[in-house]
Amino acid sequence: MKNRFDELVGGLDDLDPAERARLQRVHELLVEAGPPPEVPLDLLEPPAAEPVRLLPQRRRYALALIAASLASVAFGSGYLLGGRGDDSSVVRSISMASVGEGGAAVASIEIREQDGAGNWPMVMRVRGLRESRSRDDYYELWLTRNGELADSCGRFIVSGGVTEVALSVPYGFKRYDGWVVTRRGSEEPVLST
Amino acid sequence: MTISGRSAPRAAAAENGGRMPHPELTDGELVERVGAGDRDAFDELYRRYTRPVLGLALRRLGDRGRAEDALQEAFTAVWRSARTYDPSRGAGGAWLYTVARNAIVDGARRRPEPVAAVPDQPDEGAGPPERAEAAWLSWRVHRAIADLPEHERRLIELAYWGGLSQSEVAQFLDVPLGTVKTRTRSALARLADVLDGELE
Repeated sequence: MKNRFDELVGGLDDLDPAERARLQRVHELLVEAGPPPEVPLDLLEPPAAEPVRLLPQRRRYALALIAASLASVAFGSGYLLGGRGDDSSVVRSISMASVGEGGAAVASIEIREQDGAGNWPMVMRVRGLRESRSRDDYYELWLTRNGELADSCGRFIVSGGVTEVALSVPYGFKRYDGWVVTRRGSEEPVLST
Repeated sequence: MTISGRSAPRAAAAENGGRMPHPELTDGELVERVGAGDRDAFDELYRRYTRPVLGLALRRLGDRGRAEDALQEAFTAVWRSARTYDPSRGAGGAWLYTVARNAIVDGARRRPEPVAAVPDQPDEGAGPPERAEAAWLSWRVHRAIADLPEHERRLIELAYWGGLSQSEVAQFLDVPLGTVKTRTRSALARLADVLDGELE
């Protein structure tokens, strides 16, 4: 990775040596630091302002109860907080990486602003999944709860390169704790947050 | 402050596209406001530091479930102790690091993980000073990444940790390769400005 600096920033002929060294040091810091962790959906909202004593391993469920009391804005409000896309309609971006037989696939999901009916439009981009052999050989995006497949967000087939699909779901995301993609005929994830 | 008092800022945040009202304040100014009971400031601190605190907890505890619990405890500790913050003694980010680290360590002591077996060989990994230095470095870097514009943050994550080449990133994001390189350089320069102290 350290040798990728030139590839990542392109031709540096126009940079003075001091600036080049500065950028390279940042590059090395990024490599040293490693990736920041993905934050589960149910932790995107801060804890209650009133500090509360919660039971170990169950405090997120208690927080969910507190959140449920915020009747006027509970639905999805915390979800809005994380996104700061330059596209103002994107309220949150989710990254996914391959697991199991997913090979070297990656995906991103851009959640858009809720529509007037209460649906959450989203655009999913996938790269690196095995190509679908037919229309029946589809992949499926799921929301998970407690490590189990909970609700489907839609199905799609994959061809070469990057596959982009538009999906829309009515669910309140705070009820879930992650996203996975499965391939037809299996409940084993090939992509996961 | 009451729980119901959270409704108004949440609604305001939703109305302005999910952006919090205090993006321009420094971490220290936010901590001072949290000390005065400002819920909006707390929410903005949470947005900035969720991933650094979770990363610190994961590094320390090594278990996802315990780390997620520790994240909640750490921010509860921030809320409780923010009034003790003294800006003359250090930056807000460093103060928050100390509070979060102490909350994580205290939580781990209260609920120690059962030890299955004592290893036969001494651990030859990094010692406590090196681990502490690495944790602080990750904290700073992850905090800085949190404030990158979304299009630059995604690009950096794909390029550095998604295992994609720049051409693949360009294809994935559906932007020209030159744009990817320009944005990468811009993101690195932005990070360099923020991480100035780490670069010496």
